[in-house]
Amino acid sequence: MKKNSTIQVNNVSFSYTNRPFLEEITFEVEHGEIFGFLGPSGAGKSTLQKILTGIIRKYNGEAIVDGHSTKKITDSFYETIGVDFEFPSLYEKMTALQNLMFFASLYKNKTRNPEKLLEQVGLLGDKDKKVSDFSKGMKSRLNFIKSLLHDPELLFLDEPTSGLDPTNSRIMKDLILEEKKRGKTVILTTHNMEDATELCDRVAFIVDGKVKALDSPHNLIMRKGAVKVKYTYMDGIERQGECLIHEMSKDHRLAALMNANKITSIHSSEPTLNDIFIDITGRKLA
Amino acid sequence: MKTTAIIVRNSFLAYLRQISQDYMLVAAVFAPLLAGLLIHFGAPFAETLLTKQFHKDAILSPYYKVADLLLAMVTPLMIGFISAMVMLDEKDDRIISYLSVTPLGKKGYLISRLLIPSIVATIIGFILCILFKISTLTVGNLAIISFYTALLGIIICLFIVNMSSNKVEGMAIGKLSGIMLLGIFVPFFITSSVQYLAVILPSFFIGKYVTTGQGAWLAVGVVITILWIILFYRQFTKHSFY
Repeated sequence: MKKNSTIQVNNVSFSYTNRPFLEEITFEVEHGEIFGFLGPSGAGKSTLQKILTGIIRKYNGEAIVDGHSTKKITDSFYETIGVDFEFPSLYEKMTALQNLMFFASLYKNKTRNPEKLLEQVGLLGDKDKKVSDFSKGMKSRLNFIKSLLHDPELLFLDEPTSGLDPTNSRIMKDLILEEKKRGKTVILTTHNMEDATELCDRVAFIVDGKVKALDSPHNLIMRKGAVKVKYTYMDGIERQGECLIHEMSKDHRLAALMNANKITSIHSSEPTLNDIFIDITGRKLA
Repeated sequence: MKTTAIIVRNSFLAYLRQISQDYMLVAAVFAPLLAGLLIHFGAPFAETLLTKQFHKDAILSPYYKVADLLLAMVTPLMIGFISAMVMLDEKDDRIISYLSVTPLGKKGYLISRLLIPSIVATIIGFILCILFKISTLTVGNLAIISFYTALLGIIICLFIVNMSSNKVEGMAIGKLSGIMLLGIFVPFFITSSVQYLAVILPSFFIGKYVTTGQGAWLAVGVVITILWIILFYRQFTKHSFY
């Protein structure tokens, strides 16, 4: 176990029925890192998050979060963690500010100023509007700052950008990065590979209840190999050629075509985390 | 720094706020008072009219204890129904599972939605019984009955929440839950041993206690009621906190 670990998970297994659902999951999350669980729907990501947040307590193995076994946590444990479920959990009949004031009243420790948080996500002007009148993006932003009210050291985010338009998705990602800058540890559950590549320091691929790979997005991408260069050229008809980027100088045909100005298009293609996921797990994310 | 008691109080205040935002629930709050007025003034008035009309000494008055038992049931029934509606709203808004990952926790939530309202139901129910009773039931009897019926209120609340997936269904199930009160009538109107088929209904034991005057029936009733509460509580925690 590393000294700086916020979360240690050792051989955790869990089942809803007689069939195993999570099998011997083992990993550690260091303080101040954004750690992603990636996998298709039904892979066990949310269940793992429920184990880490103490919602599910009957499981095999050991999950230690912030020094507490999640099998034996008390309600005061929730002073130190913030949870943002995939779907907003807000009182629809209350206003945005009333919601935040109520949830803040459930914490013993001093809480952050709700109006400042609303301002941070561009909702201050809507603070007295009922949540039922909010759009999906507004609800997601409000739901997210609700999890920040008590300034938790550890944040669990379940699909925080799911269903959001690009603008709202950008706002959400900037907020997550802002929390990382403030020294918070973030556990991100997602099936969005672009988000994971951009946000996560390390990711774990979870498929069929097992961790299939665990590393930084960069290292995982590098496993696939170097960047390829693809080009097309005219030789009576349009033809295509490709070579690795670090072997371009050895591609004599490419050199000749460039000299003769016969190249009609050229571009590089990097493997994505999605390619790596399919490579390793044989599954697509959907 | 806040204490756990203050956190639970804050959760209870949110419960009251939700009631105040729903006209149907506000009306339900006053229903026991209306029932009390109706029984206290309506039953003797009806008795006078009926005895005159049919030239009899008593028609309704032998059953005044039944009326008082119904009066004792109205407050917990209504508060149980109100709690169920609030909880179904919170279930719809996914609040219940979220509250379980706050310092309020599952226990704090259930204390603020079931235990505190039940204590309120016991007190208000007892006061209304004393104010509006029409039978010879003593204050001591009414205190015991009010406590017991508050437990029935918890059963009714959990029954509605467990059986419904939304508020509309909850209202329909709320009406159905009135069946649970039928047990009160059984010992008054069925004197043969057939009456014991109703032991499955916790309300049967209040009727039995009042008709026989034996506290043992109430003790058995409390045990059976607690078993029902444990059963419904387990079902509730299994489905509502995840």
